[in-house]
Amino acid sequence: MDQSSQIVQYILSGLSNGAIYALIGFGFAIIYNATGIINFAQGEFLIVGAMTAVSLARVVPLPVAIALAVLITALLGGLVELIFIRRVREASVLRLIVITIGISIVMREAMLHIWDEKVRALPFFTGTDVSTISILGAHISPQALWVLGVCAVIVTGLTLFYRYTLMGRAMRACADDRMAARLCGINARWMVTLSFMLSAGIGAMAGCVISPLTQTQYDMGAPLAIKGFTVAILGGLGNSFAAVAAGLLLGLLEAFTVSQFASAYKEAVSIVVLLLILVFRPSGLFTRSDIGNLRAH
Amino acid sequence: MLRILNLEAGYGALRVLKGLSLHVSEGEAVALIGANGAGKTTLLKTVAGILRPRCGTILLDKQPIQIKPAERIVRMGCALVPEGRHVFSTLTVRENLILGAYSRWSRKNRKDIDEVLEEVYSLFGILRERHAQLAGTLSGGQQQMLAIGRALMSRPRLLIMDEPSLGVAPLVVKDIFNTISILKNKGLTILLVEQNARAALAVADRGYVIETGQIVLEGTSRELADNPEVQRAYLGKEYQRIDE
Repeated sequence: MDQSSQIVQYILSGLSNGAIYALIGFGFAIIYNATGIINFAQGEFLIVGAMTAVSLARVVPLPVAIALAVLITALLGGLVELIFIRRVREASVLRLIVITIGISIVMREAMLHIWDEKVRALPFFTGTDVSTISILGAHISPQALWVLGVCAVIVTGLTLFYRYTLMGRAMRACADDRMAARLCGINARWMVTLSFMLSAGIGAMAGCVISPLTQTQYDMGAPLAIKGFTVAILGGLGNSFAAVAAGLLLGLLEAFTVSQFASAYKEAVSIVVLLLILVFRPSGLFTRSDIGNLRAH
Repeated sequence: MLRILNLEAGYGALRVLKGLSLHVSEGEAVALIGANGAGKTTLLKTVAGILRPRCGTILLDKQPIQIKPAERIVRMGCALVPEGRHVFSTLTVRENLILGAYSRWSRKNRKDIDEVLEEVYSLFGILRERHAQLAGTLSGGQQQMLAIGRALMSRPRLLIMDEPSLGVAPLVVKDIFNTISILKNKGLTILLVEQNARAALAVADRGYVIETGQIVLEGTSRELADNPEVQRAYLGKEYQRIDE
């Protein structure tokens, strides 16, 4: 393999990893926008989604299993909001964040009981674990293309949803000014529930699409959530689309780190990025100052 | 149309409204004047369902609404233009207006909503011009127009306005009061809270004066404008000298 195709190889694998980080970051951003809280159970939604799909795939065809898993996880996300978040009185943001940490622990333990410690995986969507597609001299698994494709579809779909549907606009309105949204007749509480459902559903989809590549185990949510959190911060919290760009960026950074150093350093990249961003540019890389100012009012 | 009886409300240990009663009849424009901290905004927020009253009754079309949440009250035909405008600053002008019609959004209302949008645009031409602009980039006066327009989009029968002249350039204040009198002439019932008592009484049929959470005076706009106490406290007329 010559040098240029090697670079293509790193870019492609970086992008497909990054797409997953992007989806997790997007999930963080949706809930942050609606409530101002960071949902630390976001990573668990991925694993619940993937595990549910693995179990269902034994009885129904794979696409149906994934669709059902996404639906079930979305409902679970809504339920989590109804039971744990909505009922909290005098809810300070910090208290709610601690609650989400609690939820993530409970979910992880519940998954340990339901699915034990075994590593599972969904079958490859197309081909097998050895099939590859060659692009510009690089070889990647068709599943990596699935990851990129699913990410692109979700991001485009949500953009259209937020921009052009009444419900999407209402969700943005709630994030912008909750009282004014209520005065327009928007039920702000249900918009929060809906954000949790949306976020959990996206998480489940991300979990399913990476499961064939990375395998799935009950406790893999937390490290993924850290990646997603890094990405959400890197993009500027609450800015969903910057989170996507930041996700791809982090994926590329990791891929090139692996190319230069031992792959053990890969995990350190996101932590280092997170620390650097928090210290030097806590508002995120892509924050536009004018939009930021509008929000502040 | 709106009747408030013995309303008490407040924040935490703070009692702001202390047994306040007033009414607004159909087709009437009523002004509520009072100093800072008298409880005007608290009253309006309570009527709109943003705040829960401690006790008392609020009747809208003879139905009690004091226990209903804000989103239900809009559906019943009572819209509030909040103090400080509260436009959705990260949404476009048009999106703001469309969300104003959220409470009655349905396929069968589609045409009607387009009509109201057209009415709002003809009432405030600047909003049509700037329909694609982010609401946060509008001037104060334009944001006030947008806030009023957004409230009108729900086709309210009762429009409640909280300090529409606050933070608006004097020239634009005139425009806004002109619009209010146009709306009144169209038959809309209006409850208006203003610090600018002169302008408010000029457009209203009747008025109430509120002090420390209670109504201390009521009458037609004429009566209030001629009342020496009101003139001294709210219209900025000088004390008459006693020695002459």
